Amino acid sequence: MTRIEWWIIGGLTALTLGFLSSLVITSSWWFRINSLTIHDARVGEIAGVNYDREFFRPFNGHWDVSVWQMDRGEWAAYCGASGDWPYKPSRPAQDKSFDWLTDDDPRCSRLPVGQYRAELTLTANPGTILARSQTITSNVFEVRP
Amino acid sequence: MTAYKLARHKGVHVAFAILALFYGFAFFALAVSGWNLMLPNQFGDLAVSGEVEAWAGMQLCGSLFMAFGLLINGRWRWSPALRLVGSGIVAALTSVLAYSASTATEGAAFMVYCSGFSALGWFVSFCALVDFRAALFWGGDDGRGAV
Repeated sequence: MTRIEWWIIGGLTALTLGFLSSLVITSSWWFRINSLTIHDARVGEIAGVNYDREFFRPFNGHWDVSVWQMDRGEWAAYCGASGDWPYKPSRPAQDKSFDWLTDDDPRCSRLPVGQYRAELTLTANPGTILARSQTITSNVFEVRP
Repeated sequence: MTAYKLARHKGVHVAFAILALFYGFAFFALAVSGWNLMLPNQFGDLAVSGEVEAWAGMQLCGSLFMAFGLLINGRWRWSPALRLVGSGIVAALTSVLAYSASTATEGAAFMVYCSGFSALGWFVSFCALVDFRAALFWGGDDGRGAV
C-alpha cells in the first residue's frame, strides 16, 4: 500500500462516516415541528396561529417563513420573513399570532382579502455539517372583507 | 497467488462494482444538482426522511470502496476488507431503500430494482467475506513475494 492509497482510504472513510451521520442524525435529534394551523381573519385583524413544536436540545437555528397567496388559481409568493435564534429545550406555548409568526413584517401584517398558506422551515445548526431542516406547510386560511 | 486474492466470481465482482459506480456517480450528480429524486409515494417515508445527497453519497462511497478494493486486489493483505465494506454498504443501502419502497403506494418498480441490486450486493459481500476470512487466517507475511 502506498501513502496515496492510505490517503484515499482515509478520505473515503471520512466521507462515508459523514454521509452516514447525515442519515442517522436527523433534525428530530434537535427538534420536531408537530403542526402549524392559521385561523381565518377579517382584513385588518391579526390572524391567530397555533404552532406546535418541541425543542429537545439547545441549538442555534435559522427560521424562514414564506406566505403564499392564491392568485388566479395558482399559489404565488406574497411575503416572508426569516431570522436566527438560539433555541433551548422546551415545548413553547402554541397560541401565537400571525404577526409573531412573520416577525412583524409590514407586508405580511396587512394581508388583503384572499386565500393564503404559510410555509415554515426551521434549520438547526445552519452552515455546518450538522445542518438539519424541517419544513411544514400550514392549512389554507382566508382573509375576509 | 496469495490465498486471499480474488479469484472466484471475479467477473461478478467487477460487473457489480461498475454498475454500483455508474449508479453512484449518476445518483450523486443528480442529487447535488438539486433534483427531487425521492418522492414519498415512490420511495416511502423511511427513504424520504433522509437527505437524498446522503443516500447518494453513501452509494458512491460504497462503490468507490469496492472499486478500490478490486484495484488493490492481492497487493495488500486486507484488500478484501475494502470490498467487504464497499459491497456491504451498497447492499445494506439498497435493502433499506427496497424495504422503504415496499411501503410506498407506487413503489413496486423501485422495490424490484433495489431488491435485485441488493441481492447481487449481498452475494458479492458474502464472497468478499470468504476472501476476508482467508486473509485473516493466512499464515504468511503481507503477501509480497508469495507465489
